[in-house]
Amino acid sequence: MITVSVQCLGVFRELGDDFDVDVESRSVLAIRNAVSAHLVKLNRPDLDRVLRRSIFAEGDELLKDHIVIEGSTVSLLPPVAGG
Amino acid sequence: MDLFSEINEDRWKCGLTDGPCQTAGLDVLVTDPAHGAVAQFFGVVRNHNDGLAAAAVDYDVHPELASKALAELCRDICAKYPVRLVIFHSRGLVRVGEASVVIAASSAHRKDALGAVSDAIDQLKVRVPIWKKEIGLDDEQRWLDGHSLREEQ
Repeated sequence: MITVSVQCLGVFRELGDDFDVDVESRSVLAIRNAVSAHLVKLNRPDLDRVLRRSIFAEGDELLKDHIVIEGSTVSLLPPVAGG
Repeated sequence: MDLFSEINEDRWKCGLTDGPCQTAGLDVLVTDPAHGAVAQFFGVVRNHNDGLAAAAVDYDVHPELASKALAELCRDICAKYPVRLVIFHSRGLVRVGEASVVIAASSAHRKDALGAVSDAIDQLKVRVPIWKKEIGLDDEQRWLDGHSLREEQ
């Protein structure tokens, strides 16, 4: 297992600035599934619904689900609402 | 303006600032002796949303991604329109009546400047990693929903 740190942005800041999840691989899909399980454990189905419309980033790159991250930190980006 | 991120290219400039955006003097940044039109847009925090009274909006920003997305947006707009363009957006607390986003464009004729500003604000809202937390008069706070970047992939 690998520990990945998830940086929270937008509505996910309700969980704090970041949290860790244990994943079997560094694929974004594995991280997404681990974050979903984390949210269910926290009894936050509302945030789990937002997660489905959210995207991960590593540094300044947006990541598709099949991507494998290089480091051990990702940002979790909910739907954007600038302006 | 207290810019913590700024990118300049020949025809455009964009940046992120802590607190409200300054509206005065924005036109000067796009001045060009060959341009006869200047269009500006100020996005200002209003005192209501969805029937609820609002006092302020707290903007959350991913600095690296937002800077990159703003630069890409400026490049796209300047590829589509023959304009000079500037875009600034706020991070942190912006109160009712203060500007959270300012955009200015100049062009030889009005159509391009107006089109550039309109496209820029429409695209900014769906492309740039920025989030709004609305703060009510009683300090009640709620994050506003937005546009999924996942749908763009």
